Amino acid sequence: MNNLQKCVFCTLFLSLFQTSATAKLFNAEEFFLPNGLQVVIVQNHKAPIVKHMVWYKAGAVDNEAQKAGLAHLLEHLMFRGTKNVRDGEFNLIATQNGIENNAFTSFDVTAYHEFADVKNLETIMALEADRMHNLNFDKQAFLSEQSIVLQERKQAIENNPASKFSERLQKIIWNDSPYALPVSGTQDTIKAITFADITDFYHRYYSPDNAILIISGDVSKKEIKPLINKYYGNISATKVQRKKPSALTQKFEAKLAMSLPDIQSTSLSQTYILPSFHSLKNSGYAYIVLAQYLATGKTSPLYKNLVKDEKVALGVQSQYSYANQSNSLFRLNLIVQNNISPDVAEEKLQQALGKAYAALDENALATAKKKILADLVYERDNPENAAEILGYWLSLGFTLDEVQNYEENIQAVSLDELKDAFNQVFYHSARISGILMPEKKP
Amino acid sequence: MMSKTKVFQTSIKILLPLCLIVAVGIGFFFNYTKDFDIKKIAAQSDNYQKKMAVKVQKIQYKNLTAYLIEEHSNPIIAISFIFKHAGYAYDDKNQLGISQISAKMLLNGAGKYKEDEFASILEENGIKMGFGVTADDFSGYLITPSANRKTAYNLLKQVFLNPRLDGDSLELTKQKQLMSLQKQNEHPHSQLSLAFDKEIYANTAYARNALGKKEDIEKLTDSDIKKYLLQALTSHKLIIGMSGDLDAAQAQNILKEIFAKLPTGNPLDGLQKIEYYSKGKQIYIKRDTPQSITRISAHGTYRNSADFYPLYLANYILGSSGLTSRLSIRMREEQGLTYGVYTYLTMKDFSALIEGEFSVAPQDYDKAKAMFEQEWLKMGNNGISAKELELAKKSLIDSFNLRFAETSALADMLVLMQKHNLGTDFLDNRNDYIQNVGLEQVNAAAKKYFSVLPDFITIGKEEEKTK
Repeated sequence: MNNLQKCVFCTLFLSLFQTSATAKLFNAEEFFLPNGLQVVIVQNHKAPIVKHMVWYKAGAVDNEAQKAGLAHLLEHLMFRGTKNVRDGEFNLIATQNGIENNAFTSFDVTAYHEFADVKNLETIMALEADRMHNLNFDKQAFLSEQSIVLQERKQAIENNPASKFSERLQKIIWNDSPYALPVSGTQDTIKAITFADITDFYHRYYSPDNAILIISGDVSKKEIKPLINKYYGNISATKVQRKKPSALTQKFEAKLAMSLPDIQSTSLSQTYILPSFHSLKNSGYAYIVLAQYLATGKTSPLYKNLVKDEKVALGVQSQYSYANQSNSLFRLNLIVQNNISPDVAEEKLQQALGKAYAALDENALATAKKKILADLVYERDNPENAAEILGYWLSLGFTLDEVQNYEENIQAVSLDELKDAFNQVFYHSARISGILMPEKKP
Repeated sequence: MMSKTKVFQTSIKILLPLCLIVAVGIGFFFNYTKDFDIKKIAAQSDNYQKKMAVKVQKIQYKNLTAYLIEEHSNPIIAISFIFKHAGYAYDDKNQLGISQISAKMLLNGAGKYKEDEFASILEENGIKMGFGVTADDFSGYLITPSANRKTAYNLLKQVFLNPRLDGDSLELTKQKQLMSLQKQNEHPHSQLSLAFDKEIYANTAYARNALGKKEDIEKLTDSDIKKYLLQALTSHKLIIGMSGDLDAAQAQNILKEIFAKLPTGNPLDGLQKIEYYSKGKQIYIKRDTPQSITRISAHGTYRNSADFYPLYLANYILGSSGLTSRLSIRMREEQGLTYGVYTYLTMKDFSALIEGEFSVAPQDYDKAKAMFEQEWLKMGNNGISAKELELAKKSLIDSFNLRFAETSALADMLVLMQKHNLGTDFLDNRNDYIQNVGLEQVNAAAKKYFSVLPDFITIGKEEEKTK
């Protein structure tokens, strides 16, 4: 072999053994219990603390429209007594042992989480496993929490002057889909929920085969697997059947313009309806990169154009949200400058998008990826992050491997895929414009 | 007189149902035995305690000091710092907002890096840098992956020594600030905050709008900003905390190469101490809103006073222990009146308060307020029990290790430790400080601080007109 041939041979030989230089997102392991419970353990030994999360794959989309707020009210009632832990005792045990705990309800999931000194892990498991199948609250607790969620709705949502607009926009985007309704419900739907509704929902959806347990912190699989088996292993699965909301496929254009009292400036949003993350023709990751490219940060093309050059906005944001089973959404938000009409802002936005597309090249792609990946080291800092990220992705149907390979998946996005993603969003999707304005002065 | 048979038959009629009831009762009891005793499980948790060794190092270079906690498990570095007595309370009275604007301008380019390039370097390297102001302090942070620390340090040094303060950046920064001011009254909560500060801090500098004043902001020039930064960012005022993937030598080098390059500056002038005492006032702010929001205010204590830990514990039990606090149990769990009610201690440099907040429907306000007042005065009049104290202490001690979860939070904590002169051994001793507080001390503090009603400021509920 001459030298050139040797050189070529060596290069080819080495490339066969090229291992991926990209790291796994977390130090995570997964296993399933016989009853179907999916368990993920993430190691993070920086401090003797642990995050324990149970994610039930049930949320606002699983209750009927007339009872909107049901999944959320159940979340509240999960703290109000079980066969083994009387009403009020959960909170007392948690507080007395320095266990930070809370829960949240979203469209597709309800998650219960504790963050504590690792010595409390068995206590936490006993409590969570118990309320997975032994919930037992009384009528008084039901009435009390029903009142509390009504207050919560008023405080957290209705007190916000923009909420009338954002809830109406949500209806226009999602139409007949269960995603159209607020997770919190409304005053009327909350009041329509009955005791039996709650217990029915609980028995229907709260089952180990419909749940994910994530434990992240100063633990190891060897150490805690026996505990997990002890507390979660004997819970019977009810073979949950979930109805997946139908995908929205209709192309349309809609505009919602609202003037509301108390609002002091104009904001403009555009929402594009896409297929769900996994059903996208090219990878969903291209849309994550697209959101980063278009308007994340001061050097993004939309910011530079709309804020600095054209001076029609004081802020612009892009967001790709894939937290829905049936569809994903791509959103742009602008804070419109005073004295600029929303129509002008919208026109300038369209022009800016055109320019942003024209500027798409390998360099822009590489830069966008670099920015996304530069932040990943921070996700490995606080053990809470891993539990939140993994729970979110796994409950949407991603595999652990796929989440772990996040870096690789981002790196794999090609320029063609990114351009396709752009065209899919801005030319082949339903588009809903939202304009929120102050009331006109007489 | 009944025949014997009849008595027997009557007895059966009474006894049989009675036996059945007893049998059912016993059966019920046995069916209702628990699968486990949660209290027993919780009691065993101390067997699984893992020791956490935290070493706080004092780093010095010339007249500069920093505290350091090394944490090498994840390759990130966090630096947190404040310039004392350089917050918005210290803005020149004709330049209200200058500190905020200056803080934002620091990110708009430094040295040879204009705004865009500066931003690009930060974003592409995962470097987080930010500046802001509270009433008291001008604060900043730098967080970077270890791999990019040299780039990060260089940028911070440039920011301190050669901020660009370019004209077009200043114009845009001012417009964004003015927009924030414009939107300040959109949400009732932020409208309440403005009113609260004005009312509680009256005609002192703490009453100022944190965002500044429109007319003053509009007039600011880049030379105003430059002049301001030269006198505000001086090493005399600095308090620095560092954590993460760096060692003592590297920490010292940061002091030497970055912070020591700042001008030393002049000795600090503080504000006048504010002596605030509540009078049980009630102020209403008119606004049509689904939920009224109320904030309360009462005389508090400073971090280093002998009252601090006793008051901290009393307040914890009253309104700072989440859903198990006395106020939460009364107003939320029992009555379902509110989604959240809290009390907490606040400390500015020259004002110490007990504050609190709750939201209720306007028509429930009077009832809710009465409950709040009852609980407040009950604490003042009766204090707490030994059992309550024991459980509160356990709660605060057992949650201690959670503060080590986040590297950047460690750096912030080190700044606070120095601000309040808590010493490098504070973390070793803190649980003992809590444990050593006696019941009599707590109840003395309860009597001292909770015997007079706080002042109430409420938005969304109107005062009832007396007929």
